[in-house]
Amino acid sequence: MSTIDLDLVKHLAKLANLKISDEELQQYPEQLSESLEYVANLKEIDTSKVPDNFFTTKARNVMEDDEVCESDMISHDGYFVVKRIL
Amino acid sequence: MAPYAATITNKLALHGATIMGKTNLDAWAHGSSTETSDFGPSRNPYHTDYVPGGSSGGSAVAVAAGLIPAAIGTETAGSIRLPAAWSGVVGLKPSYGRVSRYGIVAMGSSWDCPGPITQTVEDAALLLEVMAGHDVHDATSINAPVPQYVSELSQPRKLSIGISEEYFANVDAEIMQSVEKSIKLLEDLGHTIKKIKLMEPKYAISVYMLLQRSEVASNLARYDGIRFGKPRSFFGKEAERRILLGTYALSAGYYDAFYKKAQKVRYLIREDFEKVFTQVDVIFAPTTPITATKLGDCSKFAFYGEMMDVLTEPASAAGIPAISIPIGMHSNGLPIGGQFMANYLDEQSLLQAAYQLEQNVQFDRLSVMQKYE
Repeated sequence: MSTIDLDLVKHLAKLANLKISDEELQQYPEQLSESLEYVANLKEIDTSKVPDNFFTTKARNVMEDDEVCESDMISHDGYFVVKRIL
Repeated sequence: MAPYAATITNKLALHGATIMGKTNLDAWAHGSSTETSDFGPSRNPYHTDYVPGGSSGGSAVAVAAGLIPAAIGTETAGSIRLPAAWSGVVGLKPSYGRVSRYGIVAMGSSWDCPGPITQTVEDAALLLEVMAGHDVHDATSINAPVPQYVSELSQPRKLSIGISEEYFANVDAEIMQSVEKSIKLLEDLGHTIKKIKLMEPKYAISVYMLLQRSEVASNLARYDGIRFGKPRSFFGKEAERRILLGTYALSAGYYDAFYKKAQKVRYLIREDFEKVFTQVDVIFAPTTPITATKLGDCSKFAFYGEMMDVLTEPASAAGIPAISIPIGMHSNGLPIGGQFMANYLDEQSLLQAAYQLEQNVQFDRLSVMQKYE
């Protein structure tokens, strides 16, 4: 089973932009490896015939009508004028 | 202070509710006891040496102690039902998409559901009726008609209620006694009890652990210190741990083995429920394996949150609605919760079953309020 060593934790912390002190980093290899050990039970379940596009609501292609808003049609030197957002 | 109001806050205010304030919870909703809160833990009103459950613990405490008649909680996997069970109140987790999340800090976006925490099932029905409905500001909210939950609450419907042994494993003996008493009551009320088989809840823990961590890592990436004030060094240990595991599960080389595999098992969990709901209207089970734990004891348990939420996680994984109501008192003086789960968007059956049981179950919710008057 996969384990997470200190170098990998450092790499993950870098990916996640977390500045964790060397001392604090020490606790994570064991804790994270324990979690991986737990989730290994998923291997007991055969998922070879299962699609991997799970979506919680089963909603598909929720479309909204395109509505032309007159106030957004005013152009300025060939550009659209939009509301200021900042 | 939030720069804008959540859709549900606006809806409640529009219907005449007075917003009294914000309640305590685990930081980023990462926890099951409120002990990871940046403001310190909340305490169980039945015994202040004990935790109220989390993450929406402050909401459950405020309602249980009678400070307010109702509160809102958010649940990713157990965060409404667990504190409701441990604090002796009603907690309803609606179907995923039933209630808008607009304005709520995202945790596990494919799981998160806001819902009511109340003193009675009737109040939960009333709040859900107000809160539910499509919201253009939340792309995952469902455009489905909202039934009149309150007026249909007292329909004398006879339901088919499923009982799954898989939800009884490692449950405290006294909690099981209350569950069995409740099953007997439901039978006496004319409902049909059917034995069903469900996937073991331990797999939902694994699915939750991987997918929720992944979504946390992704959602909290936006806390870059620019838009939300504080830098990433302000994350507590629990948030850090979750971000690290989520980053791992999503990273190249591990994605298929962990994230994708968990998504597939999640698919099977939902299918498993769908199959069962062709045979029964609702499922009844204990909400938690044990009653509230002592303050500070959470570190004594391996995977504390996951273990306390083991019986609530499958419904969350499947996106189906569930409600926890008090069904008895443990000899240790702490409340016991029982839960109903129903098919996707069938909060109606859930509320009707819970309402009928509530009318017949013995639970004194008033004396604890007198303590805090």
